[in-house]
Amino acid sequence: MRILVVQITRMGDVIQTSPLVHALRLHHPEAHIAMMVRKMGKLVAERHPDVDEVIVYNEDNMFIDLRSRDSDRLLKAYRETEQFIDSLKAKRFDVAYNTTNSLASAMLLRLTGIPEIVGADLSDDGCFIRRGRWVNYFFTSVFCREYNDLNLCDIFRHFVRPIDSKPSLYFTLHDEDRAHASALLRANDVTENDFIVCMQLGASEDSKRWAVSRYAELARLLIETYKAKIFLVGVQEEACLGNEFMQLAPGAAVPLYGHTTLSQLGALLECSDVLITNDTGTMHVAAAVKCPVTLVSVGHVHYRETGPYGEGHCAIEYKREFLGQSDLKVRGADEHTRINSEQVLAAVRVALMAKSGGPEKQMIDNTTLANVDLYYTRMAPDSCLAFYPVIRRPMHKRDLLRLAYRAMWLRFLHCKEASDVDHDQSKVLRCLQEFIMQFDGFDADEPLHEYHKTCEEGFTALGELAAEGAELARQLLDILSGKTVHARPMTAARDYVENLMQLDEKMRLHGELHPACKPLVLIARFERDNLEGADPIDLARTTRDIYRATITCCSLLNAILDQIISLCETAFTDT
Amino acid sequence: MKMLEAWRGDPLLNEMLESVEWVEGRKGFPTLRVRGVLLHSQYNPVEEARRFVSGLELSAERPVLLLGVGLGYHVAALREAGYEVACVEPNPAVLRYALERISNTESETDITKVPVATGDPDDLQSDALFQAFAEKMPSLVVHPATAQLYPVYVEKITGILSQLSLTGKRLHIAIVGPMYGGSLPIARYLVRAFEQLGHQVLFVDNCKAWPLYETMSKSIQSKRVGKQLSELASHFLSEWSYARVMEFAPDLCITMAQAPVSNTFTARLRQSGILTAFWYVENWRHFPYWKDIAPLYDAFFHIQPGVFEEQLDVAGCTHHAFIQTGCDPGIHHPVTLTEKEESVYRCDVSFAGAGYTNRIALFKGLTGIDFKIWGVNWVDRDLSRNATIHEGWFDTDTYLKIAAGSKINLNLHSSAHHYGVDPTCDALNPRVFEIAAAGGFQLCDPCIGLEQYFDTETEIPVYRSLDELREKINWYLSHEDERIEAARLAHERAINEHTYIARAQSMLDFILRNHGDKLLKKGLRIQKTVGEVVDSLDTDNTLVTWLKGLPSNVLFTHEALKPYIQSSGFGHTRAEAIFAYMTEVRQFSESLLKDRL
Repeated sequence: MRILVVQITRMGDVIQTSPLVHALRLHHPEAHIAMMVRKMGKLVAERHPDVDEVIVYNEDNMFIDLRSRDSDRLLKAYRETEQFIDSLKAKRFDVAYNTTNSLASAMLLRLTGIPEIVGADLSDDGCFIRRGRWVNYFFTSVFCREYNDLNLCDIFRHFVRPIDSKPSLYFTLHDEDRAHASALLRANDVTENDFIVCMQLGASEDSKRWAVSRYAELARLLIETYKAKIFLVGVQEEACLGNEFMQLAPGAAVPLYGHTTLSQLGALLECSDVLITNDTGTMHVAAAVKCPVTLVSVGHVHYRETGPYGEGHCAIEYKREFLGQSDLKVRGADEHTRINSEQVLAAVRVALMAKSGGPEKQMIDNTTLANVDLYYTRMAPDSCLAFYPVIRRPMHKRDLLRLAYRAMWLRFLHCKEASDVDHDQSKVLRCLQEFIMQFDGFDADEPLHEYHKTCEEGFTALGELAAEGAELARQLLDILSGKTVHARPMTAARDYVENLMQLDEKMRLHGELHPACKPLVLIARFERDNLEGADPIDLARTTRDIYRATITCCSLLNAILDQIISLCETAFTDT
Repeated sequence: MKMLEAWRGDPLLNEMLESVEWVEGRKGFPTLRVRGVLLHSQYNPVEEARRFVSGLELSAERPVLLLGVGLGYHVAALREAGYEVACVEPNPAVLRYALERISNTESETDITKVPVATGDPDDLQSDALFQAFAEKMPSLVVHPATAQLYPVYVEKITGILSQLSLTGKRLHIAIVGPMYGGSLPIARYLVRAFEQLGHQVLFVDNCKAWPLYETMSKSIQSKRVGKQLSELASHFLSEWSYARVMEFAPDLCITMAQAPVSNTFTARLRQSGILTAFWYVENWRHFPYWKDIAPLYDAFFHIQPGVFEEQLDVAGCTHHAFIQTGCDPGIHHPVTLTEKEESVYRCDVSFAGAGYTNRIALFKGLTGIDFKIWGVNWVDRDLSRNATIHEGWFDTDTYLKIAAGSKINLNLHSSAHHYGVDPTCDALNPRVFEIAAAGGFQLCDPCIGLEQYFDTETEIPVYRSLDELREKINWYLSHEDERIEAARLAHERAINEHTYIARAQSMLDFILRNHGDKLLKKGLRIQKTVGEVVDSLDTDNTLVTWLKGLPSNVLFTHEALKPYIQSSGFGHTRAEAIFAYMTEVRQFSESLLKDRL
């Protein structure tokens, strides 16, 4: 078996794909697993113990040659591209897992002729589609982020049915990396007994950066509190941020911009007590080498989705009403300074505690942390990453639905048929119990039972709409397959299609009016837009199955909500 | 030019241009001394050569023409660095020593197969091997000692190489036009001419700005405010022109007279390696702004030879050339009038143009003939008694009809200093060529230089006074055969010798001769058509199969091919699918770049 895993976005994304690679290895111990990555992800792929081959994808030269308006260079670009495609083809991969959401990657894979693709692909008629239920979930979850409780690593991992109960990130360090880190510490008079802090000031976008001034204040607090030895890490291009920091806190840190390779950075992080960072690739490296991470989540960063993977990390974010979409505009420059240094110091303490098992008990809301939320990471009983609230607070509607959706997707997305749904209640219950225990009652503008009823009605109504759709699709299928004889079958078929379109519009509207139902509406719509092929019978059958899946999901959600409410009643009454 | 090894024993190498001295080096690597100048380091010429090569900014895709072989150290260093190399050595004796050193040296990077030329540089122009090498547009590297010892030789080889390399290559040329005025149509003709020569042309058309500019100017009473606004508008238009030119990234930018560009426009373009030229199609005596701008351009073209050229030299303009206006046979050609048009345009004598004082003065004396005038500012009571005046602007179509309908087309160059014929006139107007190309018979005033372009007896007869004009009008009206023959001969002359294509090529020849080395150094975008690419490729090729389905004259660039690449994958051939993939990569990357900027 020859497997290709394609991840041609950024270095951090390659690390986040590493659990998937390990899951593939567990399923196929003898397989040849190759990873196709950009140059910036090459080392990460090379340091994965389950990767047999690294293929470097480079489109930079092609891009420059295409823009050159030079015929010879265009020909060169074409030939080099053709050669690359042929080289991939010659490797005779049996399956490719494409975790890159891009049309270009889908086109490339289609050109290589790999027979099976999971992820972004082109249909036979050249349309951009995604293959795989978890893949569809991945691409639709960004539109309903407030209800997504799953980290990207877990979503990727589920591209195959996971059998690893203790998943983690993979980035192997070598002795020479560690030797370099030791030498670096010695050169800066830092011993292993010192409290070593790394700070990542930069981020891929300005909107994701906590203010440098805050980092500088935090540095002073860390030195005061822990006598910390602080290193500023990042690429050479971020050195200007380091300069700004040094002006605000002279002598507080040692800038290391451009002084380490990625693996040397990993070694440094491995012997550090904590990394304080924005949402960056460095964060993932730290998580991979088990360095506790304190993530300052600002802008449109959603820590649940892209936060540090593994146990013993902490995320802090400013309390917000809505999460919004991943392309949300920056709320305003002041969000980057709203989270103050004392609050992040508290988060650092949590990360340090989380390293040794987690905070003994949750904090009671206090004035210092009044406007922020703190979370620490654990692997939940369902073997996926979870962010547990550090500050005890009431459960919100969003929490309720997020838990429900999490449980539902984990049960449903691997099933081929509704009847395949895993009905093992014990793991689900344990998981839900653990989550619910973190909350202090239910805080909403309507009481819990009433909200439950609202959700139930919404899901039930959606289920009914979906049932209507399933029935229409079934009737369409019967006409197309000849099972039902009709005087004018094509006219009848067109009418059914028209009715289905109207029904889809009803469902869309239902999703708008009942936000709790929106993820289901979106994913069903996405799957219908993703239909491939031209055979009307196949299309009708698939459409029917999509509606049936929606029915199952609605039913599952209602069942899970019942469980949650029951558990909440017990938990909140007891407290 | 031949392989270095093939020069062994050639009698040419026995010619000692001057004394060349063999100097033993400190570490066993010899060098040569010519006229007191060491060609290489005495200590470590191999290391010196490697350092020299590594400091050059050479394109990896282009071969290198090295001026100055010396003892071959630089040749070897270039070969080591992976470049295809050919050499020219000014001094045959040096070459002889180079062969001697190579023979006695082991483990040398093999440079015996490197093509080398020596001797008279003029012989290189017709040398097939040199031509073939020049065709590859090599980077030119001059050995420092050679540049010092033989500067004239180096300059000559540079000029020859530039011309051979660049002639026939498709250049990117931007032409910046004026908002309004006589040079506007000329700008358009020049654009067409360069396109017909096969170059990629961008016309920076500013005429759309004219209505706003005119409205703005007329709406303000205050001269001071009007001037301020005018300057602001000119600055804006200059920036707009600059932006358009820079996006196009041409090899050459030609600015037309009256184009709204600032004096810094040229400097900014030159910083980006763009050659600049100006075509001053005006009378230098009437519009003196040329003094300020001529020295700023790499090439300054004008339409008045003689005194003006001396003036340009004095003003510090070192590269100027006389390039006359002309005609565009695609636009200026004979037309046939309809019956209705006959009644409008048919006449014995016509004039088309603006009513300058000297013209009104002369034409008032043309009485008793069927005389029609087209143009603006012809308000004169006496004239209107003798001529039918069609006051107003006219377009090119009308102009051709006027030429077709008139038995005699008058041409009289405008003058602000003389009534009637200006005996000092030396700025030929485009009308001379346009009427001839349109097939019209023309009587013209004797503008200095006219005789260089047309035979003033048999093709375009001239008149020097009103009397002479009246006499010739009468004669030619009664001698139809002679009139038709003269028109025919002038027409032939115009379309064969005086087209804008010929003018455009003259401009390019001048620029390549004088500045080709800069283009060579910068490197050209090589642009071939689909047909040319198909011809150059192996026929058994999926790319060729796809390209054969496209129009052969489409340029083989990504921009030009994009309309032919289906965005959907259905029905793609492999080649098209690869292009679709590359297009998607580019579009996505550009969208990311746009977001960041």
